[in-house]
Amino acid sequence: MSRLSEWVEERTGLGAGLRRWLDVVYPGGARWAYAWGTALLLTLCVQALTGVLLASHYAPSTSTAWASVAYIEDQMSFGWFVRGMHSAGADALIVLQLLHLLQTTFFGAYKRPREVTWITGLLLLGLTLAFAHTGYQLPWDQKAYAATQVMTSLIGATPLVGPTLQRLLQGGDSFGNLTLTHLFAIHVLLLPALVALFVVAHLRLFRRHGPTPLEAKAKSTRPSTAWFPEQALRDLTLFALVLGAMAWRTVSLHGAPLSAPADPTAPFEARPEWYFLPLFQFLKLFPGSLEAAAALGAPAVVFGMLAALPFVDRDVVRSPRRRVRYLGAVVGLLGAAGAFGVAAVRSDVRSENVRKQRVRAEKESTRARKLALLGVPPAGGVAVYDNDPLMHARKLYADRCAGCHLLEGAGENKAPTLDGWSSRAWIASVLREPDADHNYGKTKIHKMKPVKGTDEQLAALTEYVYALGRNPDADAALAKTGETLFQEMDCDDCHEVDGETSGTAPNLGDRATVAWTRAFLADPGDPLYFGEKNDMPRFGEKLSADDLDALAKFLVSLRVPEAE
Amino acid sequence: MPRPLPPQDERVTPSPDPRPEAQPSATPDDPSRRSLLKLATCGLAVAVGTAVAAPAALLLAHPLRKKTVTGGEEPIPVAALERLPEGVPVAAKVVAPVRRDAWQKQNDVALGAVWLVRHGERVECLSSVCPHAGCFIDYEEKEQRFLCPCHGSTFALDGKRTAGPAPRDMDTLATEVRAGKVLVRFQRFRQASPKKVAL
Repeated sequence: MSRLSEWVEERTGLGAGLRRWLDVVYPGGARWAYAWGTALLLTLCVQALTGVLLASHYAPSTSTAWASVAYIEDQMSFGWFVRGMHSAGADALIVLQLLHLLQTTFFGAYKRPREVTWITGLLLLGLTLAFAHTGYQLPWDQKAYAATQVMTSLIGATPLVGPTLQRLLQGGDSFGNLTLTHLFAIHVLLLPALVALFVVAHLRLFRRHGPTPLEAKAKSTRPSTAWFPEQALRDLTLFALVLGAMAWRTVSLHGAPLSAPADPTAPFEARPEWYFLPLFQFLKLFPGSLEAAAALGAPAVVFGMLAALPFVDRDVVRSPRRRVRYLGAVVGLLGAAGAFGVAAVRSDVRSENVRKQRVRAEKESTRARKLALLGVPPAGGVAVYDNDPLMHARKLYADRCAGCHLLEGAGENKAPTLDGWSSRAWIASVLREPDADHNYGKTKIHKMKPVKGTDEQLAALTEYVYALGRNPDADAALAKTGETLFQEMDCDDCHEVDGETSGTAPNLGDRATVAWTRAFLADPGDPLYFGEKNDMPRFGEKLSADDLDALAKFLVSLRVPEAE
Repeated sequence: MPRPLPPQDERVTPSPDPRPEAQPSATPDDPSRRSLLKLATCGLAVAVGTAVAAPAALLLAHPLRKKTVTGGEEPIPVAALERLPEGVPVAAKVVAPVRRDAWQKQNDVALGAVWLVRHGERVECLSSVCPHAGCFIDYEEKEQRFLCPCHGSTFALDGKRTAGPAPRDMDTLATEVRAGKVLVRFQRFRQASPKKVAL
């Protein structure tokens, strides 16, 4: 074995190279303050590993991006965990880099001869933000769509080169498959290469100049140590804590968020990830044409100021106390960004509209992901909703029912409007004015007399009819009053309620339950329903049993208007 | 204008290429504490590495634990019996009505082709996948034999291997005739094995 290692050593110098890393000198001994670098590097390694795993299961195209991510998140063993860690890793990288930046500033470590180390660090922060942004664009969910929309719009608004740049990035005039292949290539090929390059540069420079202790501690007489094991243990401990925090976030969110598939027809309250919230809020201050300039200008100014720091603060003194001006400037800059971020969050927390949109988005996401478990149709994205039986029923409705019945403002009015069909409001309306155009006015049925009575009586009658449909939320006491009125007002002269006996008007027993609706659709002219007065088609002859079921369920679902 | 390096910076900056020999040997720790520290560091490294690698391995093992492509296992109608000539191989496509491929639900997916040979009311079905390396086995009408063009394996009309590197006869597939339709239960088998093992 030793001969083998000698053989390898002679040809590669592997052991000596490794030892050089393990034995990097830490003057004045190991310190927790030096642990950021290693923790960052290791977190980056986690990103690379989880990234390769995700890329092995992701398919960049408008028809497959969302579906493949939903598959990773909801169907692959530990897919949710790996994706969650990749997402948490992005957050961790940004948090760690900001802390590293603050610590470096505090220690005055950007000063000569470490200016280039400082600047490569800033470039790495910029690249990380680009990484993060392209990262959450790839799933092509609602959030990604909004993020891409905002990003490309801002790029497009850049003077002169904007429109060309936008078309290049998008791969055309609008979003499409090329948009996703471009984003994918940037995220998994271009950015990793650039980050690797600057990480190597940053590390080489660190090796060249060594760590920077706080000035006060630089004078300490503590003996120097090597990286391994004293500093290594501190670095690894910090990394273990970071990893633990990432795992905690991943488990508590059960993965990473995934909104409904990108849908240009649906509203979506687009909010960037937390690290872009300051910019997001800042841009609200700039109207119209200035916005694009501010979007590119503000980060440029912030990064420019930070990059200029070592060239402005040129004094050899590194003591924080004697650099209050510069520390104040950096803390002020980051503090202002933080304040903008907090303002963005606060304005959202206060907004009723945003809250509603979030609830809606959450519901849509849950629904889409549940339907994706059945397999996403090849068209991908929003085609997942075709898996919904109600969606299928909607298509049936549009083909078969909308020719006579209005619903949600669409269709013809030759028969009762079906918005909220058989809800209390719908029943009450029929009772009050059965011959109104939106009720039975346009049909051949004109036999029913409008119910005269007080509002209380109407409410009771309505409740009775509503309760006949076996609605679990019906008020039994009120329905009882209604039953009495039903007899007193001679409704029962025409309407039976046992669900079996035919009268001169529809039997109201079990009315508007799924089974009743299905039977009614099959043959509305049955003596149990409209009998001879019917002029609605017999769908039992036109639709399959499955389609009848689906349509009946859909109609019954109209009674409960979707909670906003 | 280059200025001389500040003295404190010189003190904290090691030489650009610190040689291992020049390492500070003077640690206040006694050797046993130091080796304990080394052990703890290595232990932590292993623990952290495992914590990262385990979920990764579990994700990668997904195709070993669950089926990623399903559908088309049921008998699938491939031809009408009356249109099959007696004793002459006829190629037929096997098309699965519904297939699940990872995240996707697809309709009418071609699974493969088979050779159907009618014997009266019974139909024999031979897979067109060569048991050697999986190439498409063609039928040579002139020679009245099956030939795999890749490596030259030949098979008789009943699928018996007659020459070439194929390790076994052509694979037969279960068929049934229902209401005049020929149904095939499509399967793939392991290649390059003398035994017919379903995949």
